Amino acid sequence: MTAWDGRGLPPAAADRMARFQASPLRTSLLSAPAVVSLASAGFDPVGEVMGCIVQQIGWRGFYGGCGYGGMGYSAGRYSGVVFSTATYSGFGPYVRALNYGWDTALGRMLTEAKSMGADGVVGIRLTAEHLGSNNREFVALGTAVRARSTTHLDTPFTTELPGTDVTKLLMAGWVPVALQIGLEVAIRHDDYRTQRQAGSLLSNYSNVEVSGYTDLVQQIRAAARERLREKIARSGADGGVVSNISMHVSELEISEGHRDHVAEASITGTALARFHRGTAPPTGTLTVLPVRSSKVRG
Amino acid sequence: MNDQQKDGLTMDSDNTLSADKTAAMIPEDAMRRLASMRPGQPTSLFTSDLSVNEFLLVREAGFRPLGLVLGSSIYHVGLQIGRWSKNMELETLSQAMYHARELAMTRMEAEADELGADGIVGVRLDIEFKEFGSDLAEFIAVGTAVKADEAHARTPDGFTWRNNKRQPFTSDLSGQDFWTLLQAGYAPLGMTMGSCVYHIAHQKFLQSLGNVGQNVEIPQFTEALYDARELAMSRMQAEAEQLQAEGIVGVQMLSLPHRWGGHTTEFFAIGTAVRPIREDHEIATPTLVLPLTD
Repeated sequence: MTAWDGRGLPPAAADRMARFQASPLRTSLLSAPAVVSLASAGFDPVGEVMGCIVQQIGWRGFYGGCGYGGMGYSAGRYSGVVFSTATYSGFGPYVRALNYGWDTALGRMLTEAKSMGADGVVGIRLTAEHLGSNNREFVALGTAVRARSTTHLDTPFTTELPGTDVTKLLMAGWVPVALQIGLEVAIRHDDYRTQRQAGSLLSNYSNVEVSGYTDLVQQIRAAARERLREKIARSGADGGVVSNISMHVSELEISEGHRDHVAEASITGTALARFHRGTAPPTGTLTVLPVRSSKVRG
Repeated sequence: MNDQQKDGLTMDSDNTLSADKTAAMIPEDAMRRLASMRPGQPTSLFTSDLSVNEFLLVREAGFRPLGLVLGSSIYHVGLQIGRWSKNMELETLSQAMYHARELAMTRMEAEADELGADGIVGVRLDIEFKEFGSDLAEFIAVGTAVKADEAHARTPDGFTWRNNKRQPFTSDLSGQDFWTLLQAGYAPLGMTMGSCVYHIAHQKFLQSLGNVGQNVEIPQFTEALYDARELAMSRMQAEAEQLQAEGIVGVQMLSLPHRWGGHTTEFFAIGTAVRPIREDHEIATPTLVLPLTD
């Protein structure tokens, strides 16, 4: 096995592309309804495409707590939440590593799609898996489709929406542009007020909002939404539909009795562009009542 | 009636014919749009939490999504323990569950208000107990802020889409239900909810001994469940009355055990309050279809 320098496609993927060019066989990961519906909208599957990268994330960019720097002691003005965009502290390197992971996985998938002459990749599944303590694998897997049209695209569109949903959008005059991920990581120190509200100082019998934690999760989700919005706007699209919002909060014990909370939020969505010019979309909704067995919940 | 049906049929066949024609144009137009796209063009950008079905139906109902809105609250739920052998509401917990949800909802509404929205559709309310603290729970409300198109910025009876509190309407109905509701001449006013955390008495030892091996009703359990559900539902109804609603649709009655042990349960009622916007409430007769999928 020859060593690969990390540029272009890995040898195995390059071989697969060569086999694809030589053989008339076409594969796809689409369900039967997805294939039929996409065909009715003028798109045919050309093959399944994948991109992946195993990345070592050794340096998350944060050392020590934010309690010592005084940032966490929210004395009215300070919110106490430190974002990855902060200059001296924060998880900047970690967020950049995550973004690089997804971008590379999606980029390699697109390279395969381009070499197949595809116009789009639909039904993309994104997975990230921990391999060992510091390594993470980012995988993007989807089905490349080609339009029955005279215009073809240099860069295929990408979406995590299934084929049936893509068809519905096309029928209504919308086309997916690109899959986008908004990521943000932030940290907040447990100040005295937070500890008191969360009941960690003395057993607390009263109902109270833990304003510090609320602040952290509100801000982290708002920031992740903003990242997604920026990415969608940069792609030149008209809007986006979100398919997944996830957030994870973990606790760091910086030193005895000092606890910080790290929140990681990610929002995945597809940017959409409108292509029909008229007021009415190409097709409308028909009110139907499915005739099916009552055993199947409809 | 017969004539109408005939008209319907011919129109249908016309529709399918033109649909076929447009279908042939779709890939061409779509590819041209993507090929001519210049990144960074200023557009009136929206984001939405809707599924594709919901997105398309909300558009067809005459609303534009403005943005994904959310509000959350991390809440320390106080402690209250019910008497071992007594059926009782745990007011401290009821209040916590209600107040925290209300905080999350209000923050979501404030975001929508800032966007100039007429309403929020597809609202999801979730509770997640956090691992990093005892009795800490996150209450989160997520939805999509929408605004009515220029053509019907007001309801058919001449009011605004906002409710009598001048807030955007909220609705936990799916896009499909929202579409059907509007078609039938109703408008959502707001999500209404009622919560009741109830402690159900343990059976006394002698009593449970007396019932060993028998199939009998345990009246105090039945009574407790009735009582708790009734409290939750009446609170929800009181909210709907404040909104001057005609009724509540899509009500869910949930029993959420959370993590208070087997005898303490939250009964949570949630639904969308609606008002009529038209005199008649007829919808088009649905066409029967036989799906070829399972």
